[in-house]
Amino acid sequence: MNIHVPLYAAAALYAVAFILHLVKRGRASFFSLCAGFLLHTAYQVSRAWLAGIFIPNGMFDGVFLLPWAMALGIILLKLFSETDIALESAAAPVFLFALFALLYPKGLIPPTPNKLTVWANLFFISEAAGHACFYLAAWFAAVGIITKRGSNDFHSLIVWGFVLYSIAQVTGAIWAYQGWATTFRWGARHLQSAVIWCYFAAYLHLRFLPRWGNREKSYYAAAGFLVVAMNSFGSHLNEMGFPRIGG
Amino acid sequence: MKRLLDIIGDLRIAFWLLLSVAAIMWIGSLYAAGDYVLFNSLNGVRVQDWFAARGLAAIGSSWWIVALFVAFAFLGINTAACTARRVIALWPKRKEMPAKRFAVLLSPSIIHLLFIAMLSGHLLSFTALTQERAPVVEGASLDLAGTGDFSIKSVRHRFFDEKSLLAERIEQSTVEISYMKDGVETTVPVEFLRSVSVNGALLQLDMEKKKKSGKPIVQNPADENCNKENNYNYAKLLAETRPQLFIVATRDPGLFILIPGFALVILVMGWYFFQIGFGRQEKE
Repeated sequence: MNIHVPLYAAAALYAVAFILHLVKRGRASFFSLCAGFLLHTAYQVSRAWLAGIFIPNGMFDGVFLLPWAMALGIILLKLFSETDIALESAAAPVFLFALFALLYPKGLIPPTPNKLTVWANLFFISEAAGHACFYLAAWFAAVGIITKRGSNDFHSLIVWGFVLYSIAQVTGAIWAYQGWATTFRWGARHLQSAVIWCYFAAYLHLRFLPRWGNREKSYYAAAGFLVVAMNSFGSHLNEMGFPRIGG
Repeated sequence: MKRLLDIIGDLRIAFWLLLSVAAIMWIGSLYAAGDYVLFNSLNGVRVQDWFAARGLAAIGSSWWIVALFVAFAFLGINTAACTARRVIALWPKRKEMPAKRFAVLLSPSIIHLLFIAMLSGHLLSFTALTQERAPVVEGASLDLAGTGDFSIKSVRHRFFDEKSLLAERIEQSTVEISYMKDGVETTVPVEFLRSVSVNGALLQLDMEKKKKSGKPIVQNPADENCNKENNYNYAKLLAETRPQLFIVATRDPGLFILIPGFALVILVMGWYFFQIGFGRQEKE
């Protein structure tokens, strides 16, 4: 069996989850999302053996980890938050990102000695988790704008995203220090990572600005989708041309 | 004084400065992606030296770095004033509330002070860093960035399992260096991700792939940080290329602020957001 089959199945289940949401079958939609998440988890774990030996880096490739982290976020929100918004609607962006992963080269970029550290793994995990929170917040903000709900249910997601993304900045800096004796490098990847951090740091200050009500904050959070995408997909697209093994 | 702090430390200014910094860095990232060679040459050198040597000649592409430093300077001043305002207002009330409540209220100010410290650390790194590098050649004697004399004793490579798809690729390299410490010859291994400190300078390994002619292969823009696999030896390319190890010596005073600062800011931020329920309070 092709090792990537679970990813295809997970993406299909995410699509089914969104369709079930559209036809108001909330419970079935959530079940489908959970099933997709379980398959996706199995796929992510299996990626550690892409090279024929255990290399954890394969599990943490951002393109494949992002929809997984988003699905996990929805499940955790469903289980632990008291929000009354239809969380299953976010199966739509999860499916879209999973679809991108399906079209993306699936092999492992051969790790260089500087990449074989737990700090690199921690960086990619926390970065994907932060991105996932920002995307979900943007999605719920956009849904709120369209449905004219006027609430700021997305706020906690941005706070969680900001904390996780700050952890990514720190773990990334420690990895850069270990590998290259510097915590910051003048290059597109580091600069764009800082753009996302500054954008959401600015958001956290909005609560103190009276002119920014829930409606304005919703627009700002929704625009965060584009900010994160524009500042993270460049490197994903660039890495499509990299030599890979085991894919 | 209070009026001055109110004006300089206005949160509206903080908000727009943060967005300005984000916008400048985004523009900068486009320039950095478009002219990798120019901006990669800024890594490992002092920013003022780089501007004198290369930046001013290419001011059409490098102007955003000046704008970034100016915006960060304003942001630092604004943050300092805002923090001072908050602490001045909060401090007299410390005995009117439980210590934990006071600590929670004070935490954002501590985070902002740490943010200023981090900005200063980065500024120090950008303006006071010293970095030198040399090819690793067995038996060579070197003196980089004030390390004093040291010699390269041996070079060894460990390869991935030959049964794996990574067979014949380097998993780790070990370079043994030898130097005099307190009149005694000391030998220590330097490996990727395992640097050593010699006379206050950090010694690390780096690697570049070279053509047979000895000319370095032009780097791909994406190879600047974590994906330098094109610079390393592929088994099939070994016959055509000569991967060259480099030893890099770095002296960076900013690191003494940045590394503990990173740990502190995450601890305080994590504790603060945990105390306020990760934003649930505002929602309610």
